[in-house]
Amino acid sequence: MRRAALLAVVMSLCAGCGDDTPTSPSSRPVNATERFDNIINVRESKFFPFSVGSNGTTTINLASLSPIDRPGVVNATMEIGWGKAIKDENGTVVSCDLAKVIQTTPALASQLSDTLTPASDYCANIADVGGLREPVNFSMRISHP
Amino acid sequence: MIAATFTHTNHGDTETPKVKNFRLRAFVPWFVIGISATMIVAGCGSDSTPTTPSNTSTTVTENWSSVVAPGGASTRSFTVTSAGTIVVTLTAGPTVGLGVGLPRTSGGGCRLGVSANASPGTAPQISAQADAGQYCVQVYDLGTLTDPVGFALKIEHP
Repeated sequence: MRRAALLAVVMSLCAGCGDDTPTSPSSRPVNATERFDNIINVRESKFFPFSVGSNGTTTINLASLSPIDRPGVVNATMEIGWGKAIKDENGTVVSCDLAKVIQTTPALASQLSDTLTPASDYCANIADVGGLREPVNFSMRISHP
Repeated sequence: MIAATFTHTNHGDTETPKVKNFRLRAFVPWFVIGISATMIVAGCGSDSTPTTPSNTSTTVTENWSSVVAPGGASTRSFTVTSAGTIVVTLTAGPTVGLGVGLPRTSGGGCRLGVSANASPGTAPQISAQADAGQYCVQVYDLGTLTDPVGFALKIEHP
């Protein structure tokens, strides 16, 4: 009787040492990166529609402003941002209703980061706020779930 | 003749071998179990000082040499596998424009994001934080070349 009790005590202690059943790692959505390359003129703005497929972080990067007719960089301050894409009755995106904007110069790391609710009607926007002296090429990267 | 009884000097009473054997048998299991339980419980504790995860990011060095023509530009692409710093050093050649940017989506070339007028040396002319992705480095004439000239540079990136 006493031995059985002792055995039970030892077994209960040993049982406490077991590893927990490992949990599966939570699925982390892989972001897709889209390029928005175009020409922007002085005092102009342009937008690019994109969709967010799941919860996660969306980043926007103004990576390049460059002259059209020669190599090099244009270090102008531009306004970049994101918003809701406005569609007409045919479903065509006709404008971008901005929700957040910042002013920045080109860089190779993202300047704007936000968590957006999954939806198909977002847009990234770029606008000249007085820094351009000539039309320039620009490259933006939009990374989203 | 060997005595058949033991005298317990402290208490003045006597104890037969049978009684002593019984007490020993009762004591040993408790002793062994106590030691075992202590060892088992001690094994359950977590380490007080967690080890720091090793940094798996490694820096890649690419050397590139080519020729830049008067009024022209030479471009090479590379891949950054994780966010980090891109470092470019023009090690040989004339004074030229040196830049890092995104490869054009069509037609080749490079859309520069950062640039510098660079003379060859051992110190980096460009050092820029960058997200993971495809990049390009470009060497271009600043308008000073009269003949094609060779150059060499080193690109270091995650």
